[in-house]
Amino acid sequence: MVKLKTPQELENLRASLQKQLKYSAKTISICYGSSCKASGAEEVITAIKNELEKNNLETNLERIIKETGCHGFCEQGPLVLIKPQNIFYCRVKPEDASRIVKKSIIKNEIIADLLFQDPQNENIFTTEEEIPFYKKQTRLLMQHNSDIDPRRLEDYLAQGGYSALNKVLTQNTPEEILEKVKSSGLRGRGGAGFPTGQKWESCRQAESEIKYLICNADEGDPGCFQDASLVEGNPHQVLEGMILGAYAVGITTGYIYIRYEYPVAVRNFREAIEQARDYGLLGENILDSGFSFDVQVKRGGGAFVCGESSALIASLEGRPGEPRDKYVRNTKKGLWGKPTLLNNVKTLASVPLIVEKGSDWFRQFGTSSSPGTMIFSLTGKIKHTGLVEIPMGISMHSLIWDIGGGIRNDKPLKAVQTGGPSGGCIPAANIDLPLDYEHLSNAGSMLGSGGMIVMDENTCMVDVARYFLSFTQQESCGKCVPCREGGKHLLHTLNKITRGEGQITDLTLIREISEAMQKGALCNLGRQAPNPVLTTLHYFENEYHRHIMDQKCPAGVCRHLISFYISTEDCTGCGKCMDVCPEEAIRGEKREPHHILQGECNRCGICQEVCPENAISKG
Amino acid sequence: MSWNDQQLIYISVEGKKISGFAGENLLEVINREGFEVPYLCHHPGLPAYGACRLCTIQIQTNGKTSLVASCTYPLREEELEVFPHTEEVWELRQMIIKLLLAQSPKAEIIQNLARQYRVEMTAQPENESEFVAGTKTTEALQEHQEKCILCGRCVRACGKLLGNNAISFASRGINRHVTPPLAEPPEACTGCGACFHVCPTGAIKMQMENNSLKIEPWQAEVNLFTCPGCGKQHFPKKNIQEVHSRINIDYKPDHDFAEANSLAELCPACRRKHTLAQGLASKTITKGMENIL
Repeated sequence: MVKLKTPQELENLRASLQKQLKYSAKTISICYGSSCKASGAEEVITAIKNELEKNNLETNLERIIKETGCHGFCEQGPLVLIKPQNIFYCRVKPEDASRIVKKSIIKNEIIADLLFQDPQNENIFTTEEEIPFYKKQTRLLMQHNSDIDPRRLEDYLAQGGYSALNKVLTQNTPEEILEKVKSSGLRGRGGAGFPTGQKWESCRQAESEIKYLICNADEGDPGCFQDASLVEGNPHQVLEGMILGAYAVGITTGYIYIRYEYPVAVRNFREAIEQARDYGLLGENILDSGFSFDVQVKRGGGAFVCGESSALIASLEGRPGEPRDKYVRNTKKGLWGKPTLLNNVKTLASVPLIVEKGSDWFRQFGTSSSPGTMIFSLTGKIKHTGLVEIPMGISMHSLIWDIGGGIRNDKPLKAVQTGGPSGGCIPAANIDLPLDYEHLSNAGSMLGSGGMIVMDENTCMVDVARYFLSFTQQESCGKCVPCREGGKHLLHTLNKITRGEGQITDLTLIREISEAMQKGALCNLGRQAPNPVLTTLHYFENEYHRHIMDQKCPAGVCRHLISFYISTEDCTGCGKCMDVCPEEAIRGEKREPHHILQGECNRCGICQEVCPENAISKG
Repeated sequence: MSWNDQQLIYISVEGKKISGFAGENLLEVINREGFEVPYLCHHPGLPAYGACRLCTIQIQTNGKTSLVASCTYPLREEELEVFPHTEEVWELRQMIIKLLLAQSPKAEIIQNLARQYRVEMTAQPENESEFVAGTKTTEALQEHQEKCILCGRCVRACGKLLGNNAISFASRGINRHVTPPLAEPPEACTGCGACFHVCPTGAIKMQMENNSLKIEPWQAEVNLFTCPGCGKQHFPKKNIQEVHSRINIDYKPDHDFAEANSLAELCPACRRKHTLAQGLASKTITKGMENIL
């Protein structure tokens, strides 16, 4: 590896890499994201490698097989793409390795039974671009995830990486970059949506010799992994964004704070930093421009609250991750008392694109007040789960049905929870709501970091509120009274309601405590913790009433409020339920209808699952 | 910088124009003018913290109205209008007091606040978490938990002010509690008693007992000096050692009574007598001054 000394040398290297790519044979791109890994990607990779060796193709193993970051369609994992045609194989098993190598690589054939088949209309799709899940997305940030081996800087260069940096260092002043980001209208993708350009300008204006840049990769929302997919899958894009930000603001030291539970992200980013240093793209005098900048990886402390900027800074300084009041902004006084620019992964990853292609290009995506794209992680009772990148302002309906394929088992939609545990639940009636910062926050929820949990009729909204609140309660640092004590009482009240011990006055208490938390809590964790409670209470008050007045859980979720019954007509007396019941609460003679002793039953529902006659009902 | 170099800032509180220095916190400035904003976690001698949120007030700046905790809000150059007692603020404080009363019903200061803000005791939820503070639950620890509101004054006094760090917060959320390291008697405790003096609720107990000073619930026990003059026990040994080491005096515990730094070992009454005797002997003090001293 040769250290690049001038911008011209970088372009020469890129040209030779692109030439290589053009003439190289087929490559197998295997998703190595956490979801595909969990469904067996590692075994698939070993199997394919073995198969390549068997067929004497191991000489250019590196070039043929690519372990990439997340491709997004997690539900169908492990995913294998045959490039350059982009043939899309899903749910690949290690046994399929020999077919893939022999047919697709050596012979150029397509293996029909590994292709994706739409469960709705049974259409079969050959390439990635044709699949509706990908077709309707606008992938800007995740565009190159399947082309890049995240552990090779050369791959990123070949896809046009670091050209924004190159352009900037030779042609632009920091002010011009700042102006470009400002006019692009990019807003913070961490959730609050603060205009990025404004933040940068405020940090640039702060008077201090030393300033810091921090990239916030402490993604802690349950069910969210878009930051991980970028840091793991395309670390150089994030790094380039950091370098550009540092250049525009005038910063020489940067940190990336990566969540403790993301070891692959930590490894890949550390390697990315080293490679960039070796190539002279990071460190002293980058590409002979006189500009110096270096980055260090810091591993998070394993707390959700550390994603909050002031708690993150405290944690970075080596103190417990507790937030402070931010009446003086981080851009004036942040890490070690110095002006600090703190941006989310997705925000920084958008910067190279804006710098390279211009702010007008960026503004063509999304709405005028929220330009650009947003990555959502679609989870819950939806057919196609995974990471989805769409322009801001698309309606929730289009996201769920056009891309997500609709609700699992075609049940009716009940509500959508957006913005992670601090967000709110939006009812099915508001399904046409455009997805951007303002519309979601007006509906009582938020865009947050892009979590989206789809819920069908079998979801109890009181239980949902209770679940999210118990999460924020567990993750509360406990510093301020409204969050620590208010949250405790709120959770207690909700627990009471789900046990059927609630009173109608509890609803007033819930509203009062929630209001105090929203107004009085120290940081946004406490201020937004009541959101799931308040939105469910607002849109589904009837369900709360049913729990309190009728002692019934309409969705049949809250254990204390349901009972199981065996229909005497349908029961054949096979005794299967009796065998599995952990409480031995089922009685009955062989070949005679059984019955459940309600006093002994713990309402686990196993009997209903095993009954071959569907004779057990819940009510 | 002397005090008259500091920048004076004018703000308006309920229409009244008042002033303070740049960098001062809003709570102290407005309370100096008699607006009586309540607070628990703040202490004038300690760094601002912002945990109890009782000092929340309404402010208006740049045409925007918001609620802020006044103890962490610094006075700076801006048009600032302050409303310390609006209805919204009052309601928030009522809820905070209600929550604190449920947490620490026996703390007198909370009871007084409840009376002042007309808050009634509501039902208290049973603690649904398992408490993790060490393995042994002593009687002192239980009594402490009934009064402690986790304002962190003791932690800041011990750590930030004195640098001893004999106690600290542990765990998070509802399990948060103040404890010495590993819930064992703290070695770093010098027995200075700062935690006891800053505690607003009386959750920390300090008493002298058989030649030693005990601070509960930390299980801290430090030996006391016996005054060489009168035999009374008066001051924690470790604390004197600490003070001496910080001001760089070579400290010998077994030196002669007549030596100069032994003054520290004398109780305040004997120290006065000793100074007087020395003064009379060297004639720096004349007979008539005896009564004044």
